[in-house]
Amino acid sequence: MFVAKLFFGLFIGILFLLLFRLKFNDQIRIYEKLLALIFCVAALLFLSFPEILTFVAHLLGIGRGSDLVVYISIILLFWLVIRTHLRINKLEKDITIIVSEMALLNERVNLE
Amino acid sequence: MIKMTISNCLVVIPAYNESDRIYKTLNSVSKDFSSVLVVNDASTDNTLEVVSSCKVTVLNHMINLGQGAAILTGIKYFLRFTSLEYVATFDADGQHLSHDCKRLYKYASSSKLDAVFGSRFTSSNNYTNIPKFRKLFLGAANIFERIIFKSYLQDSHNGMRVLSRKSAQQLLKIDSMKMAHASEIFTKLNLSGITVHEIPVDVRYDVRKSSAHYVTALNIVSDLWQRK
Repeated sequence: MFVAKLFFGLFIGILFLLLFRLKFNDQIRIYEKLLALIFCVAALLFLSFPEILTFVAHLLGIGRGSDLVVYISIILLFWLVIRTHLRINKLEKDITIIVSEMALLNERVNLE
Repeated sequence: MIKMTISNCLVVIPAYNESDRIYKTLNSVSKDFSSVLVVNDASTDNTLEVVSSCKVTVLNHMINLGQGAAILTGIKYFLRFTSLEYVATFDADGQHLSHDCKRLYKYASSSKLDAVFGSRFTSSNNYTNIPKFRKLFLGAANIFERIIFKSYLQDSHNGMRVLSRKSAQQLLKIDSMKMAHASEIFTKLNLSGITVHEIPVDVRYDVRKSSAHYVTALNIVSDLWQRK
């Protein structure tokens, strides 16, 4: 149990540091960094005191703390997938406009 | 009938990997129309060379964007660089016949219509020409569109259309046309109060297997659903 805790604790710690040190600037927006911070702190907290997690799970009518973690992660992952999907859609739209305009721009060069 | 080339209509032909068919298509179209524009949608074969050897205007997409986007590029060209009254879309693969397009144009210009589409289904003599499964498939697509878009068209998936400047301007509002461009074009026209007329045209199915795959139809449906 202790080894597992140590392992996960280190993993989360490194993840957290990576998220903050990588200079994505605009790509990872500030509220996402804050979310990551909250997530990491909560993860570390729950690792050291699993009773808190169980307590919260009981409050929500869920039997085990680990179940709660699974449910929350599924929701988070869904949100992430949808967000990525929307972002790719927007990029595709932008690329379409750029390529189309470049084709027309080349034609204008030919006309002149 | 006296052969006369039409000078007041730009024919936009989107082309993707059509090197073996487009030469014939361009030959027949440029006999009937004096301004022809080919939008090469980043073909990987030598479509661009074949087209460049013909006396037509060529626009070149650097990467493949799909037929809808190619049509939209053609329409932008029409609005910015020409002062013609009408623009027509025409398939590159030889399915359409140039004299049909001419008829569409004449019908539109004589009655001052804003949008005239070709239809496979209003023509009674050639109805049997269409492969059975395809007929069924198009029928299903049609019903779907009647419900979702309140479409009144017999055949909204025909690539032959003649549009006025006013209609073309409405299409500029489409920010991305992916696979669902046939429905997209109709919807934009419909929403801006433009009546779309249909005229029977012949479609040749013997030239090749059609490029519209049945699997992409499912993609189209989900695409449209998302936009609703």
